Amino acid sequence: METEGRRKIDEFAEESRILENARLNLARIDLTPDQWRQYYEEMVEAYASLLESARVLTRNSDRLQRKLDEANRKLEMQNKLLEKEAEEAHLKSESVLQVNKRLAQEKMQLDTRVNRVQMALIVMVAVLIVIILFMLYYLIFDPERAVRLMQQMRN
Amino acid sequence: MRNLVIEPTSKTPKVILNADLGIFEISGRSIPEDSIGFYRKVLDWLDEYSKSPLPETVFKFHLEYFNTSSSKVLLDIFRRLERLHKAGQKVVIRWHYDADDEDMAETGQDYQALLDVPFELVPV
Repeated sequence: METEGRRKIDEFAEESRILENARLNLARIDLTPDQWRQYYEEMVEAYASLLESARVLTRNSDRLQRKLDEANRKLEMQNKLLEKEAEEAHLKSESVLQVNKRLAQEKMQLDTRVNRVQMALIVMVAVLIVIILFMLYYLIFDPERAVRLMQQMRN
Repeated sequence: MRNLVIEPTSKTPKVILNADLGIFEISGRSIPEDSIGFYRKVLDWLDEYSKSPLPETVFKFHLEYFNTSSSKVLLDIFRRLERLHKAGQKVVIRWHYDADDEDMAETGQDYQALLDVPFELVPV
């Protein structure tokens, strides 16, 4: 606060100096009417200048405020737009996640089916190999029995 | 006299006061927390320059944005240039502003109406 106060005094140093001079002159009792008039004229001139400055600064300040308000309004609009886009992106990603999840489940089901078919094929091939091996065995080592078995199978 | 060059920051403008080349310019954004602290060097430089000015002083201002305390200090700078003009020197203040920035144009018009010194408004 103290720094702020000092700063304000500094920015109006010239005006403060004029005011201080006027106060000092007011306390004097040795001034002639002409000198009073001269000081009064100086004060009027300084006051007029200060008044004009105050008008300009007030208008400037109002314009700055308007600019800030406008900038804030734009920021708020952009913020809302961003929030909306973020929400949409979130929804999109949710939807993509769900599709991914569904696809993963379908892939798992498909894998299970493929595994079953593979197992069935392996078992069938194994059974065929066993039969062929048996047949080869009988054909090589016991052809008569093999013929009998073939006949039994035909019957 | 020594030239004064201050590089711009996000809060303070670029300042070039070069009496050798006759370049006097303040441009950019002016929102310092301590305006008088920042502009003190500029005001002191102008006081020194006023003692032996060039035959012609064209001071260019091209500000994008400034705070209220800066506008007061700008007025102090203008007053110094006005004094120089009233002392018989040739002084021109050129207030540059972006053509679509009505506020900055109006600010220039306000300063123009207040001062008794050639004050040109230059849309860019």
